[in-house]
Amino acid sequence: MSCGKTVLEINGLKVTLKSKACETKECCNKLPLVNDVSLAVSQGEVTGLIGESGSGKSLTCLSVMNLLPDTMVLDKGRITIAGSSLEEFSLADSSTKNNHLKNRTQNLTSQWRCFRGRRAAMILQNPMSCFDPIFTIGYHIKETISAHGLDWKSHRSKVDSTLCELGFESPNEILSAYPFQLSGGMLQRIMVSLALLLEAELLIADEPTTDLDVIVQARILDIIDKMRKEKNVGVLLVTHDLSVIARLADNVSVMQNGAVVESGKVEDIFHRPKAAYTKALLDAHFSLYGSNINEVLL
Amino acid sequence: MNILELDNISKIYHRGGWFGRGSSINALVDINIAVAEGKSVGVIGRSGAGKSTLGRIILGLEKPDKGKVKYRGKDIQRFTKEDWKKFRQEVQVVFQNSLGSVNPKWQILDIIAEPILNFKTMSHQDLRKKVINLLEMVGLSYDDANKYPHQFSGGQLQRICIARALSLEPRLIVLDEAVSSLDMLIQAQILKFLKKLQNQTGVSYLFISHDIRIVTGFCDTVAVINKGRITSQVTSLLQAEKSDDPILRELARSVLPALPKRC
Repeated sequence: MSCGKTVLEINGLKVTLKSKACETKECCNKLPLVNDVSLAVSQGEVTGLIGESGSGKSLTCLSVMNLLPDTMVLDKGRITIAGSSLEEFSLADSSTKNNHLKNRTQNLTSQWRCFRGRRAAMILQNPMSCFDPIFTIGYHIKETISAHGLDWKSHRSKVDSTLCELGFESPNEILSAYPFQLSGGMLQRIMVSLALLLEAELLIADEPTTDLDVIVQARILDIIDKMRKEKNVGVLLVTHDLSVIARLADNVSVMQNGAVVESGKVEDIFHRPKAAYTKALLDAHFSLYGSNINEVLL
Repeated sequence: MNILELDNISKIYHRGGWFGRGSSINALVDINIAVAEGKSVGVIGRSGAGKSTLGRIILGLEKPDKGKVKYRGKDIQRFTKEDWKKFRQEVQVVFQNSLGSVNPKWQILDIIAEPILNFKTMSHQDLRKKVINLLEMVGLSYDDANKYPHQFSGGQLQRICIARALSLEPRLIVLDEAVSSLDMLIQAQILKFLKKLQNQTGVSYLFISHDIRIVTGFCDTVAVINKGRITSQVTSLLQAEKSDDPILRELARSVLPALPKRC
């Protein structure tokens, strides 16, 4: 496995719930939803982030894209993407906190626009809700690439070849279809094709296969695997399923209640887990194979 | 003895046909399945294979176009009112969509007590005691009894649906993708609980799923359905990988590895 440069580095990330009281009193530290999370994704590698529902996996992803909901605030931490730090939050001085944040947010909005999609792409759990039902797939693709300053006509052949690469045999039919005419697996592949078209360096996959049937799931994971091998994309793979991690990941971070309890190489996590929580996850994972367990471990 | 027998069940859905000739879909063709008492039978197939239609026919929610569903040796089409009453008590179901299976305006206490009140008269104290007992069985606590469905996560709500299914001490539970949308830890926990319950009470399960790993691990025998027909039977994952049935092989091949494999 190639050890390329780091595409994403998160250092000491902390996300807290913003409440009315927080503006006047100093109680922001009361409810950390994500607490002191650090992880890194290298080129051509997959970093897995695993934990049960509500452990803060998705919030970590949203923080990277600066897409946290209004009720939450990125309190502390540093997110570095491809060497350039886009945000640095040091909020030690609480009196200037609010102004400080506001100015920063305004300055950075345009930078974020360029960054999102172009350098980092995200695929989500429910692909059906990522598309506007009244526009065709072709329109979605056209809109995305023109939003990033690319020309539709000159990129047309690239669109076709990307769609072919992802297993759509007749791209024209797909481009004129509406989202509801396609299945979940097909829409997920369209999402991946958008990331490929814009040549994103980082792919954030938040439970990309959870709603799909097993055969489609295997197919999507094959595609992500191909992307990282051939296009050298770094992938942050969020899931609650250890078998998805076993299939794809190089490094793993285990999250519980908003904090990383263990991280390391995938083999170490599976064969030499240290944290009690990781052991519990592995037990649950193996017990799902039921009576098949001896066969699959051989 | 077989608690449930399906005898050459076929089901055809018609669509269209107002102004021209409609088309028809063979949802199920000549299905034969038997569930023995205290055993688990799995039904596996891709989405659209006819798995859920089968579940609905077993529950008597839909009539088959051909064939018989026999419960304890008696055809459910010939059931008397008394038979139905017994059947409704002994056969329970858990669906995949837990939020859609509960009344959002009711407290958990009422949700779990509803089937009991349909069949028995009980004092309020006894009823409450029984509901709390059921909640504790599925790993929830007594404070949860007075909460509303929206206060729970999907996994907790699914356990509430299971508690409700258990409230009448059923003999057969139809689990229609009951664990598919849950988090891995909770899936394992629920499957373990169901197995324990089977050992204690001898309840039978009909387990409908698309995840061959879980089905073969949980059930004694598994029927593979494709386009409404049973194409083969398996008992283990290893057997599935070597099968002649292309659908089964594909399902088995797409099972993700338990351990990371390095090249």
